[in-house]
Amino acid sequence: MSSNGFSEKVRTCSHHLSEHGVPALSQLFDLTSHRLVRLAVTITRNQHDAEDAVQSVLVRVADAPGKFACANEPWRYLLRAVRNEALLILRRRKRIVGNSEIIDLLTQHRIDEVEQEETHREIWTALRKLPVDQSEVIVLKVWEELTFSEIGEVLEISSSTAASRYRYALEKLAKHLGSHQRRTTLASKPRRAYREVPNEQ
Amino acid sequence: MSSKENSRPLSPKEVSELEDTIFAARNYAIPSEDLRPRTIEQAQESDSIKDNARRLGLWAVLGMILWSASLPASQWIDSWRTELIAPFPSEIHQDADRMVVRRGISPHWALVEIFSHLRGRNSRSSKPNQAE
Repeated sequence: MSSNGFSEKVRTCSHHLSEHGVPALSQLFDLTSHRLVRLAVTITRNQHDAEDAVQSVLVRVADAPGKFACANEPWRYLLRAVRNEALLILRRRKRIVGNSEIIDLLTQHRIDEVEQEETHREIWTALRKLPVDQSEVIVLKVWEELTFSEIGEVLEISSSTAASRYRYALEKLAKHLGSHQRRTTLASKPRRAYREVPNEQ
Repeated sequence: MSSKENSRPLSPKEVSELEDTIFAARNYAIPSEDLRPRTIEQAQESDSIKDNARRLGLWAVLGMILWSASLPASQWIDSWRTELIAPFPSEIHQDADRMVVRRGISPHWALVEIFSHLRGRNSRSSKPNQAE
């Protein structure tokens, strides 16, 4: 689904929520929770805190649906709200952000993607090694497919700042993933047996 | 790998490949199963609290309006109270004390006078058309 199409669906949900109140929240949740959690978790570095942030924002939106429905871009409004809440939780709980392990993540294991699971895990681990201000740009650009201008609106920075953070983030990710690939390539190579091999030249 | 290779900018092809790889991992992490029910439950509780507070506020406003409206009515009712119901015992004793001081009679005679007056007033109010 294109980002515009998704944005329009969120707008429709916002109107339903405004008209019908809390009973319409489930529709908004089903549409947006996955995306919101994955943004929040790249900020909080902890799934539990990320879900707290998303829950808090969605409950607040259900409490005051008029404000949400009146936003120019409801989807970006949600992204900004979740991002701000995640940052608040991060500062309040003062978790050790330097930890790049992803053992807290709840992940899905699809049979048809077993081979790619290792790559996916490495992507998420590498994202955690980035500073928060770079990882959130990656998420918004690649996963949410926002423009730099739209990213600037969500993060309250200029589009050029967003672009330069994105560039630095990609370079760091390439370095992390490249070094991991070299390690796994060396590890996966069969060890040469310690025996005398006749010179076949 | 040399430090120069480490710091060289990525080519457009490398950027595109990296973006594709990152994009493919977007659904790897998922929300926990209980996030949905606890979010909706918390929203419902919050809504219920708001409803109760709104109802309480309405009742309080209604109560204030009724109380304000009843003030002149209670004064009017009070003016008729002496005609409609018997005076309280404390009022009778107060009237008797005043009569004792004013006329110098004994408290017993004061009470007799007051009750006689009340009986006369009640008989006049229950038979208004009867000539005296």
